[in-house]
Amino acid sequence: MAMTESEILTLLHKNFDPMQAAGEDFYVDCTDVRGGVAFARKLHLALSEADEADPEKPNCRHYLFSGHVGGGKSSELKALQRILEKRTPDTGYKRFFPVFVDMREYLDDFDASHEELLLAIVAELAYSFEQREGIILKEGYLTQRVNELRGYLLSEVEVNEAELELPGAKAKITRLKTSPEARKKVREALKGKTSTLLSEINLAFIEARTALRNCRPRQNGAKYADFVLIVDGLDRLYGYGDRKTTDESQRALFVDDSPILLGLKAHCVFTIALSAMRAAEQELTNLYGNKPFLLAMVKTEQRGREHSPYVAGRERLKTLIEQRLTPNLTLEKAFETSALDFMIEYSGGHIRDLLRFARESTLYGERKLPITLRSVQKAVSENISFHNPKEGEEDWKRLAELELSETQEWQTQKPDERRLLEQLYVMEYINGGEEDIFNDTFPWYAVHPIVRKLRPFLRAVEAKKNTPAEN
Amino acid sequence: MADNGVEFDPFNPEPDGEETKEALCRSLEMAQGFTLLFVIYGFTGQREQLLDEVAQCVPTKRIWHCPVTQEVPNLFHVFEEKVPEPAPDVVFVYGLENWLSGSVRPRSIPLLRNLNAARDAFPLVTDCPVVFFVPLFVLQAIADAAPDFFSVRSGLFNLPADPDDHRNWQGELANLDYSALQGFPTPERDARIGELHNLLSRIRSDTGGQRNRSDETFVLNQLGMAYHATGNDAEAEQYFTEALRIRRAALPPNHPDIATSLSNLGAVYEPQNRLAEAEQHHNEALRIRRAALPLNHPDIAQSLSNLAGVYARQNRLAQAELFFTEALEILRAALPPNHPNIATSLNNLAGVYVRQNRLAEAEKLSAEAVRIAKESLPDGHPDREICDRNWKRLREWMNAMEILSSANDEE
Repeated sequence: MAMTESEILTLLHKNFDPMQAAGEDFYVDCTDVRGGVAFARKLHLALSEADEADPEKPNCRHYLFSGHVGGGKSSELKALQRILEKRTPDTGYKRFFPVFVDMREYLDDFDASHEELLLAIVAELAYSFEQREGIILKEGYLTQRVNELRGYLLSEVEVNEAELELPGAKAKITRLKTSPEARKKVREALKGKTSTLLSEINLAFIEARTALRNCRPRQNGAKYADFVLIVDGLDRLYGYGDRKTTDESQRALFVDDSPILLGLKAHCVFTIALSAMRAAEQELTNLYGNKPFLLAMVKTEQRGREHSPYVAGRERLKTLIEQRLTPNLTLEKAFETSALDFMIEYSGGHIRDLLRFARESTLYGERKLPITLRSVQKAVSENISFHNPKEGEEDWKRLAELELSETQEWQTQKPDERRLLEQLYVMEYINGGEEDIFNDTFPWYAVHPIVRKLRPFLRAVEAKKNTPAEN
Repeated sequence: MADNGVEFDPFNPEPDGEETKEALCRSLEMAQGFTLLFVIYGFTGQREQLLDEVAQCVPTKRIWHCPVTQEVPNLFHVFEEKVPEPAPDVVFVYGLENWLSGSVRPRSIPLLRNLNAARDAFPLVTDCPVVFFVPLFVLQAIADAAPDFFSVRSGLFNLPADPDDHRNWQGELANLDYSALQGFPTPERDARIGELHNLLSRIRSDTGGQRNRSDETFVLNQLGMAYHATGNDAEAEQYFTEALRIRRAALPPNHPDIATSLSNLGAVYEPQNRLAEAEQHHNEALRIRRAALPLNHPDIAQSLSNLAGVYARQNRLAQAELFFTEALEILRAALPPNHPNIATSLNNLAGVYVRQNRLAEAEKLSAEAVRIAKESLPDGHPDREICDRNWKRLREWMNAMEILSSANDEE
């Protein structure tokens, strides 16, 4: 039975949910229009080139991955997962076994430590090996270590159960997220044993790697060359160690505790907060041996003060919207052309905002298709009231300076500038080479297209134009 | 309503409450699973009516009202404990503006910071839309302190007050900053104080029950602060006293708002040299805050500093030292290391050391205060200038002492 327009709108409302990272059905590869940082392909290639002859001496790579909140990081990591494990990888690329560790399942964002982080990695590794390939990891020392902790991980009823095995440990270790007492005890028990724990984990990695190379994958095709730990959710830590802010926590984890992360003898990808990455980019590059990957916004405009449209980027965002339409519905039937253009222009290439505008636009107007420009404008206009930067006039002045600058550079090292970037008053874009997508270039910055329309901003720009330049 | 042919400017929209309300209702009907929605309204007096209206548009849904009219550290825990059986279809959260002050740094408020961490946890206990009813300043505080939480919202609905609604005094107040009155020229100052008096009489002429009492004390406090800022402490005392009287009658005895009123009064007694009264008020404020707030709350540090200031004036230096030291410890535990309040606190303690002739210790603290103030405050900020000036004086004093003592040695 054909759906009524009202039913279609309800379905669209659901499909445009900005909270869900895109799975295979909704994912659209935006690599090239984000400006050349072909994250997944580049990483796949680098891993494929890593020397893997001896399972005991792997040539491990550790990568940091960053981008705006809501910019599509998790979707991109899920895509990486799919690319790495493709049954028959493209020529020159090997097949890998991705272990996706969603730290949101394991860590309390306000009170986390490296002990829980390491246990989470062990738990997820053993769990996914068993689930997906039926490989039971049973490294002796590590099993023993985990069992030393079982008193803190198990409920009273469970203490009498048989010995804890690695593949089953996930259900227990995730409990640390919600139990501050258990975390305290586990940390005490592991105090001073970090390097021992690391060696034990690395033994388990060797066991895993060896088993993987010998196994015939359930989903037939090429054999696995190695496994890759994709560690998502670390960018959201607000309290790590004893630290109490995002910036300090991120630094404590990625700089101070880098020996622990780098001590993991496996290929790893870690997510890091954008502001923290910007604050210590060179230091991190030196420590990890690679420049951190940045997931830039999809470009909706060209570099330059004219803000002229970047057509390829806008077209791709149309595809992204199209992907979420109901079957048999075309873009033309779903949205007035001007409505679609408006929504894309004012998203500034921020995918979650774009989805939100699309979702909210289904609520306005006459409940008919196509969704009108007026409905989209209404949805956007409801989302402008909270734009009120903390430093008031000072911030508007900073933004006006960026708007009028020739170079479109932004001092991301400075706390105020970083805050404005983090809160999306300022958008970060990367051009990349048009021919060579592996060619990263320096980012450039633009004031958010919505902010550019707000009165305090326009006033600040006028004021700035009328002041003679310093110097 | 919609599409009436008039050009719509999305960036300077004429608010259309009806259309927005309808969209909100549609959103509640269409939502599946956890969905985060925000409704922004103009002033507290609108709230009850709004809650009713929105409830009426989804008559078949079970609504759980979750008022948060007093400070709690973690909203998620409230959900965990109180979410009713059978599970609700919609949750209304409201009342944050009753205790959340626009002048406090949002990131120092535990409830707001904890929202960020709980963003993935809420769906586990509430598989339905959760609507936050907030005035704009609360929304901005959430956007600032809990950006990740805010970023997963599914909808934002502005239902501003009717500009002619005479109860809309809070909207007017939100646009005025009375703490800065000190630097204003007299006519403007008087004009602003006049506005406050005008608001006060409008509030008092509106007979609308208890909500007006909290608005009334709000304006009384603003008046007190305005007069205090202009040095008219006798006048300020009158308004603070009245606010305290109302709060004592309306609130439980250990409510933090009572402590705020006591603290305000202490602050106007001190410059009038009524030190015994100041001490008594600050003391009671401290007692309440210790009972009502978490261990390391900055407000406790504020009370400790206030008391220490009174002791210092009375030359009770040992007690002043003790209290300033505890205040400093709390601030160090509660705030980021370079917070300007820590600089002020260091400066206070250094002042006591100087008077005790413990110059080396004073110098250490004063130097740290200067460093923090330099990192955290702009050039020319009065607090920064105080830190710099004290440091300079201390250095001059120490140099003079050195010359003196070396001269003595030569004799």
